[in-house]
Amino acid sequence: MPSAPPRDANGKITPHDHPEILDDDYVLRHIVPPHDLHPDPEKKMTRVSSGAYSESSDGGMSVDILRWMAEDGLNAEHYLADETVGATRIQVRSLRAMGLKVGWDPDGGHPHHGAVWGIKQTHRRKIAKLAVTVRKAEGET
Amino acid sequence: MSSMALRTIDDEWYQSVNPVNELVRSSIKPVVVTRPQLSSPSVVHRSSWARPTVDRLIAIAPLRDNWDQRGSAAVRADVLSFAWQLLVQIMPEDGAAPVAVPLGNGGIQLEWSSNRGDLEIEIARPFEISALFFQQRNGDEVEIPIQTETWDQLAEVIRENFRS
Repeated sequence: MPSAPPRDANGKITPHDHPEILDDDYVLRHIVPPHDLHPDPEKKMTRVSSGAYSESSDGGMSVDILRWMAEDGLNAEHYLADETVGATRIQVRSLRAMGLKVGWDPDGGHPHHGAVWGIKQTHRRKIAKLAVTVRKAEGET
Repeated sequence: MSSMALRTIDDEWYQSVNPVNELVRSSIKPVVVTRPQLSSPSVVHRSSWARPTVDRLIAIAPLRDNWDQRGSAAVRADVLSFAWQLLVQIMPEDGAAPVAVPLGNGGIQLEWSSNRGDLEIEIARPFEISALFFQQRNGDEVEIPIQTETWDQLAEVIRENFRS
């Protein structure tokens, strides 16, 4: 069991870099069509928008922690809602190099759930360029 | 009544309702002047960008809390309304329609893409916007922040780079 994430006085998980999420690890971001996609008729393609890499109003961008899933016998696509949802993976080192925090957020739905904190508009484009497709979302080309 | 008498009454009335101390107590308050529209409603209706933009905004309007099962907030109606007002002000008649992408905090991002670069306008709340232009220069991408205190630069970037 990983070490407990830090919490505030209300019990809410606070932004942190979890020591057991290593720099060499990858996190998985779900890509939800059609709204996460940017159709580009001029370039004749539909790509993932940088907006797909935004934080929720509760704080943090929701991700899955891939190595922890693998160690528990789960494949990368285990938590994808259905076959239309795509996914990209981003290396934790790249996110932390931008000054972002990558931590554990088990309150977010499952034990392999993580979060990335500190994302501003300028980070989203960089994350989108670093992200590697694991599975294309429906409509993505 | 004689004109002299009327003038006297006027003077007395003026003095009684406008004493000097009233003027001293008056204060100056800023008056908000609505920014004139660059595109009149008739121009918007003739434009090629209006219909697809309305369709895109309508498509994301019904998104509720956790619409993506990633914890995203519902898309805010006031953000959509503000986005339209912004576009009416900055878009030329032949401007390219933007893509509208919902963000996790209930805001939206308006995006344009061309061979010259990409423009992204984030709208978190009405009047809380930020914009980045990713310009293509000799095969490299250069990130240029666009000032948003006025919308003139936004209009200029769209006019120069994103026309149908």
